[in-house]
Amino acid sequence: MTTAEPPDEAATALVPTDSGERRWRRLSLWGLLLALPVTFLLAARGHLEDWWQAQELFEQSVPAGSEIRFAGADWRLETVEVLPLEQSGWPRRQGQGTPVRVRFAVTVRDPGIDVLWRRCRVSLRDDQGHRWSAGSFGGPRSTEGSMTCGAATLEPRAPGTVLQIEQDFTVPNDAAATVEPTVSMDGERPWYLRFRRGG
Amino acid sequence: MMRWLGRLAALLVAALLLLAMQWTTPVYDEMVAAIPSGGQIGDTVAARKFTIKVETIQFARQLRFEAYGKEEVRDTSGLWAIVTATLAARSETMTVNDAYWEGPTGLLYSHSNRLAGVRPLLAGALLQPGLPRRGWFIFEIREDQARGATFVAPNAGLAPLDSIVRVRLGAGGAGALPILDSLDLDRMPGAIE
Repeated sequence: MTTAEPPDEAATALVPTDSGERRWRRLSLWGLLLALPVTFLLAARGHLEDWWQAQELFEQSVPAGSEIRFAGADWRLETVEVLPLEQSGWPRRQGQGTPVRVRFAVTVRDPGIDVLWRRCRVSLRDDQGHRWSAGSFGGPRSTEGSMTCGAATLEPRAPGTVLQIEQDFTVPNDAAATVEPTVSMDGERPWYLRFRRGG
Repeated sequence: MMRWLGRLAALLVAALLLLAMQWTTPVYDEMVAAIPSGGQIGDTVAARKFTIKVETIQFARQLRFEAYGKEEVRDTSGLWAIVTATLAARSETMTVNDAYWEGPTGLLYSHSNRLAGVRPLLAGALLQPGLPRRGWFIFEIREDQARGATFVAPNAGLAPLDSIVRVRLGAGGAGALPILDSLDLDRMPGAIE
């Protein structure tokens, strides 16, 4: 029984001798290299899109004093103002911090900024890669009619409207003179604006 | 005959390998678990987004403090453990929302929520890069969990593949635990405003 067996049947079945079949087998194996990553990308598409929308990857530099079209509006940096401590009230809790108020004049050009500006993020950055998010000092807003970037999305804004966007920050004393404002939102990320400070 | 034996052995080996792989398969939560960064009191321990330096631990049976203009007293049937620490954001504005006291037997205590109005509490405090904050994490624990504990922050379950800090809070000597009858948080050195 064990002596007169033909060459191993299982082995012949697994390794085809037909050249056409061998070719298809090779192609299929190579095909896996494509099929597996594509399957992964399709399955993870939602996550990848969310990640992409949350990143600030590509900087668009805005020279001091100039205006730029971004997320359906024309953005211009008006002031980066270091506030006297007694005016701001809040940062005394952080001892060494300096309150900074940033103001933009934004002219609406697209009727859909309430959608384009979703998850609007205004920050201050320095050259060492630190990023300060906007917070509140708890005091009243300085300018009548000013609003935060997030508040501007609460209702539709007609094209031509000029919005005063104002955000408050607390940064270390030695960084206050050099930090530069950045702006990004769902409608534009991963691109973001970085406003250069003149002089 | 030898061939059959060989096949049987190969089959057994394969089965054993499969079993071993099955027994040692990590569950998903372990595969994406937070990565601990360890240290002890006095060390500056760094996680991905923040650093912490635990300075002192104090124990008390009662806490007194002023909150919203009113004198408040908090008793406990266990112990108050006050962890004084300096917390700093690394590159971005952030908060450490959760901190835990992990007792020597593994009991896990979240920071107390009975202390609304105490000013320099670090849990949930807004941390700005370059502006470290010194303050307290305060836990309400059982007395037998005081020695040989570990400070853990933030919530490991909410930080998959991110780093968390684990600070060993002393081995716990044999002597009696220094427990204050009452501690006035407003008179405690350490809070910087």
